[in-house]
Amino acid sequence: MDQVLKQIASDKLALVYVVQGTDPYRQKAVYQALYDRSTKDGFSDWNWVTMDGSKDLEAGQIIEELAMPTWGGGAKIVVISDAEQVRLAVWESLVKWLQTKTSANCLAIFFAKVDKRVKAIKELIKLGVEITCDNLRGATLERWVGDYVRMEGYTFKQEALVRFLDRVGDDLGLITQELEKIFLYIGDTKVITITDVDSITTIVPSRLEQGAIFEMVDAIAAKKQPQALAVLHQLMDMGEAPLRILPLIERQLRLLLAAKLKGGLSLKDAAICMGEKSDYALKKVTRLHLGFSEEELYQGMSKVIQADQDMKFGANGEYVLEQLICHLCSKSS
Amino acid sequence: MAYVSLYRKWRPQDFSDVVGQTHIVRTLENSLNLKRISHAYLFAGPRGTGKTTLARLFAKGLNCSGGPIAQFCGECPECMSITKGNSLNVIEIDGASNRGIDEIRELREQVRYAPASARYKIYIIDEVHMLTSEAFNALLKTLEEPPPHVIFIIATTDPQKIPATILSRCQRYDFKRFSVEEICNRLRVVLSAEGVQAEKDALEIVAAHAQGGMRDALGILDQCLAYSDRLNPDIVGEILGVATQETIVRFFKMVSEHNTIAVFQLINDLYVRGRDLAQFVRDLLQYLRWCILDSTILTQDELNWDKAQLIQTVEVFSQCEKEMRYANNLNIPLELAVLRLIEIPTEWTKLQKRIEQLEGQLASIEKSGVSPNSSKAQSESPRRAEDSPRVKLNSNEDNQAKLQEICNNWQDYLKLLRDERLIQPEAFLREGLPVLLENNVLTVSFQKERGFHRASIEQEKHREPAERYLSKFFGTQLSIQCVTGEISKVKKEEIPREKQEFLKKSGSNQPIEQQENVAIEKSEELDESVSAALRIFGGKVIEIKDQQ
Repeated sequence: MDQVLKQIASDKLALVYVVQGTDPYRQKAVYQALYDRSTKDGFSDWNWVTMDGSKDLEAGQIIEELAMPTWGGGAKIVVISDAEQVRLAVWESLVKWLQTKTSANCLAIFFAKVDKRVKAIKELIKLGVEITCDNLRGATLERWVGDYVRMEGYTFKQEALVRFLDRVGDDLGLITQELEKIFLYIGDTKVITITDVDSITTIVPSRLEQGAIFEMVDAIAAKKQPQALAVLHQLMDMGEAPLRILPLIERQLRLLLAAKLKGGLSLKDAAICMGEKSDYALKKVTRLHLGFSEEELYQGMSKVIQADQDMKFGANGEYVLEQLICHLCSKSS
Repeated sequence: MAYVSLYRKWRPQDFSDVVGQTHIVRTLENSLNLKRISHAYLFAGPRGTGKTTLARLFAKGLNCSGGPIAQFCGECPECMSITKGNSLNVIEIDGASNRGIDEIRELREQVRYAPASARYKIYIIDEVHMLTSEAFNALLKTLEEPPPHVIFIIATTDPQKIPATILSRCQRYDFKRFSVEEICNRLRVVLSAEGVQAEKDALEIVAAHAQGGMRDALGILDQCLAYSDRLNPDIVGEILGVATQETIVRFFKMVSEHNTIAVFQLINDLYVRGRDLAQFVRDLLQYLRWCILDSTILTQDELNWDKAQLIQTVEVFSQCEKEMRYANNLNIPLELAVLRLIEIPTEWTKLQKRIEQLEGQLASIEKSGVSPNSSKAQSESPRRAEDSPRVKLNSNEDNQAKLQEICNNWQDYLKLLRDERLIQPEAFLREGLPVLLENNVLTVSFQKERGFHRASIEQEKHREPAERYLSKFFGTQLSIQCVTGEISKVKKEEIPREKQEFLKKSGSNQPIEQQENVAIEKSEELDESVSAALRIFGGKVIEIKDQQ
């Protein structure tokens, strides 16, 4: 990715850039690099044309811009955003035209999602460069965050980095927003700790279920009532509905039960038995089930049913969940 | 000058004045001092937690003539106009009443113009979750790349309702509820400045009632000050209609001392004074909740309850709260809850009782010269019904002793059924009473008007699990037989005295002997005519009426 951005900044521009992927942050970086390149020659927006992709967009409109000479001899770039909205016939006409006019201006097409099996798209990629901007994951994401933080003059403690990604997810836009908050929060202290992460970062909605619930269940497994309740209150403050939290606790109990009672079954088979898509969640709870006896788990399930009934009959959801957590965390539960 | 409510009068005017939310205050202060300003902020959190206040303070810090700076002067024209709420550069919009696309289009038009006399043009949109989806879409582009002189601060109590596209464009800060302690401290500051004396407990009631919202707390305080210029728990309780901590602790103390009469008097006293008993139960629950969440609240001197007892009490009062919703007379569910707590022994005492019972039985076995280890069956776990010893209870003494044990533990057995989710069998059996045990058959008697319950429990699907758990619970293979006041089959001398009382109620007020005789006489008298009728018409006998 960095290589491509450098090429855009200094080398000869390709005829076509097909930019696709689910991460808007990285797409934006490509967009910005192209914009900087077009304005580098001092003609500002004269050599920069943007078109919003839609069903009404015609090939002729794009071709007209691509065929137009540039101002001041610099590079002219035509950008089409939301390209997945554009009709297929437009791409077919465009490919035919571009194959004959290799000296045309640069065309940058931004797709959130693209079907690369389509012939016209294949041809477009052949004519230029494909830039993939999918979300980073695992070690790559950790490295990216580490580099970003170092660039700003800070360092992450390893456990803090793991907690941070657990809370924020893999959207680089959100990651940079949350990192900015951390930098401002810690001020002159240059090392980011797990407490800093917990104090100031927001659990993003997509991570709310997984991140927070695991935090809560970890606390329940360790019979740490205050921590479990703190996460519960955090979830409630964020506007999470109690009836949405309850099934997640129930699922965790089921997972713990499955981990405890799987007997000779492999984790994968146990996961299939209980209707899970993969054994990922089961793997995560394999150690935690030791904190519960079989009877405690059954009792816990029965309390979940009771809690569900109570909430549906109008009891205060927060109180009901608190009671449930107190029960699950009590030594004699 | 017109009266200004406390929450407006005591709104913090600089960052050092802000209570709680330290994580946000520190970040915003650093942001101003380091001049790292984002173009859009989202302040999310429950009501009364300081979202608008911090938005205004941040606006002051941004536009102060010496700024951007966290320690703004508060005296320059811009700071003054923000304090007065008439700044041309800080535009506060109520999202709830300006929620359409037209209002947002108008905002987009205005955004293009530079601020009148300050550094930034700051838009504070409150209750932003109320905007329509079209309005959100119209706001998107502006929010993503606003002109450099524009800063958006959007505030909401419901961030879940805001589209992800908006959320990802804002730097989000989550406001937390204030703790009771934080609220009390603030109230103390306000009251001392206002020259009002208040007791600590009174402030705690106000803080607890505010549910983490400072505005609510100051609002309640305003209400209390309008009533009296000296605050004590009784006055606050009177105004808010809530029970004081002292009353609650007294209530629980009476319960823990098993002083039923005193508790009933207290309930009656509250009722007579016009207190809402449902609210009282909610107060009890709230207090118990604190006790569970923070074990330091309830000192050992007040109540000697462990966590298990607290949880059990919460469960009883939660049930009571539910029952109150459908009750005409609110006293009854509350009194029943008290009885449940006082009468139902705690787990520990139950276990102790059971151990004592088992030890007694063991001693009697040893006395009779039989070694407890001689029978293999005895050493096996009695948990599973199929494994339980199939002891034949033949002698009259055995039967009597076992029946007594069953009667003593009947409620526990019913609770076991409830715990095992056998709600229906439990509900049916609850209406009956064990009256006789003969040849491992337990006779359960039902009142006449409980015919449905008797018929239902006799169905295989209900009887089978009930018998299974009966055998499991009492460690003996037992089956259930039901009767409806048919005491003629029951030998009178075998029925315990309290059961005789029950049977008396189930029939007429006649003594049990007479009742028995009448039943026999009637059956003898009617035998001929009824049997003739049955012969001619078929069918079965439901009710027999006299010719008169």
